[in-house]
Amino acid sequence: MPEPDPVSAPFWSAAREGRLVIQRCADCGAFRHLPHVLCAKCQSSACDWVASEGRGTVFTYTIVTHAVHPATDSAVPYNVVLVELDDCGRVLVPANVVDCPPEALHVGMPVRVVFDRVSDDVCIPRFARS
Amino acid sequence: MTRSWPLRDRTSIVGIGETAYWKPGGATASEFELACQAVVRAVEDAGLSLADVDGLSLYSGERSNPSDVARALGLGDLRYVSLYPGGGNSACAVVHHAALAVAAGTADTVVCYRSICQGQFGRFGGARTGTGTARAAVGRTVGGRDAFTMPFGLMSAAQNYALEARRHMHEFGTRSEHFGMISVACYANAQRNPRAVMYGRPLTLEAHQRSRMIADPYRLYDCCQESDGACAVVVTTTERARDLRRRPVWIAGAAEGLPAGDGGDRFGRPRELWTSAGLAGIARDLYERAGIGPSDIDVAQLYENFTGQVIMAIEDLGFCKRGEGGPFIEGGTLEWPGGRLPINTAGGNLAEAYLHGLSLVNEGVRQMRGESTSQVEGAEHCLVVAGPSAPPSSALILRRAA
Repeated sequence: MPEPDPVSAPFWSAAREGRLVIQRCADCGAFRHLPHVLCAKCQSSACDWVASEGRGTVFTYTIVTHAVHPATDSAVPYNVVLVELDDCGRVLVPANVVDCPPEALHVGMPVRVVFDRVSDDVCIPRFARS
Repeated sequence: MTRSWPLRDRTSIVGIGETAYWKPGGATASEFELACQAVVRAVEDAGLSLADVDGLSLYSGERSNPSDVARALGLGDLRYVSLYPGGGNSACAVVHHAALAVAAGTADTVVCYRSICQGQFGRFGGARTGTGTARAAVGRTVGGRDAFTMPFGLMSAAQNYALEARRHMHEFGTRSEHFGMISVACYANAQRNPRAVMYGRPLTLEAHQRSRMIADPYRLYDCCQESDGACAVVVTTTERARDLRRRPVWIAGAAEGLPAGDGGDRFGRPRELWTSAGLAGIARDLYERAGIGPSDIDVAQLYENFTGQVIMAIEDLGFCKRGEGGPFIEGGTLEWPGGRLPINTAGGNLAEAYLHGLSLVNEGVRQMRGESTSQVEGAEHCLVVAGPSAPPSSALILRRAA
């Protein structure tokens, strides 16, 4: 379960409202993900958050068959993907593709964001085949 | 930017030591005792006394604290102690730092050691937060970077490195069989090395292909072992080495570092680094410092965290072009004794033991002394590469003393 901190809070609160947002440097405009306190291009700490259309393609993936944490015991096999967004500087977003059998998953597969409400307070952006 | 490296061949490894190696939980002594034992054996091997040791060069996560080891072993006045960040990425960097210290005259005799008892302190392959051996078990909620990976089930090293392997397969046509060839070469060497944890347990490519999937495309035999044990090396100047018991092994070149744009959470690294071990800059510095090229390397010890990263390291180190690592290793290229580039001649992390890579340095020294159980005849240069795709990484070229 993700626990928001000062840097990532805007990401998680947007997700709760069904929006995928990506951090952008307010000075030089470079996008970054995962969220970070500084822009790696210009070292500015000023940032804003830009809504993504939530569309992208699978850059790479793995299918996990060996559970390493009790929370995933009943989930295996499950996939983990990196989605290259079509917008927001084409940043890579770690996620899962939901409702996708292992044999259907492939690099380059188009996906769109979906929101998984895991509790009253927490909503996790994942992706689905588009 | 050709400039000569003032340290070329000026420092040497003069002693190596190690304990027995076990599967996790197999150690018959505490991790601390093993660390001490490895240091004692390395110093004895060098023909030095413990009181001669005036420096220690270690890497992060080392639980056998240098001040405790110094006190327990009655070392001399310590004049140099350093700790490199990370884990297996550091295995050659600690030797580099020892070389820098003795060449500068900061210390005379520096020992590098690594002790790991995963049976006593927990294993690395599970879901962990943090880095190195300082990692903690994962609780119910995760903050920071982990909040962006663990909720998706991205929790272990194998899973993270599988993402790179899959991308390499996609871009270059690398196959699981190529990964298997790495394992097969390592296991074959372990069958000649009685120290190896996997001694007496040969592996065929078919068995690799049948082994259970861990994190696709990685199967069980693509993942390094977890082990109990300790090992150590002694570094001094080549000048001092002349008076010692053993024929010295020259440190021809040493390099370390991290490519621009890498590091941190690594998701924002330049795209080409997703299919690379991130060692291209280290390779450039290393060959230039040693004054040789890839074609001069007779034998190599290549850190296997996971087999695909070894293929990427082979590409970065210039043995073939980028993306051609799979085809390059076909036909037994990496196998002893007939291959062009025998690797991991003691069995490597996969089949000898997983000591965060320092055991690979020990084996490099044995090759340059002519004492390996899979000795490459007439070998003059041994490449040792620490953790690939684990920046900041490091590498060495060891040279047989003239």
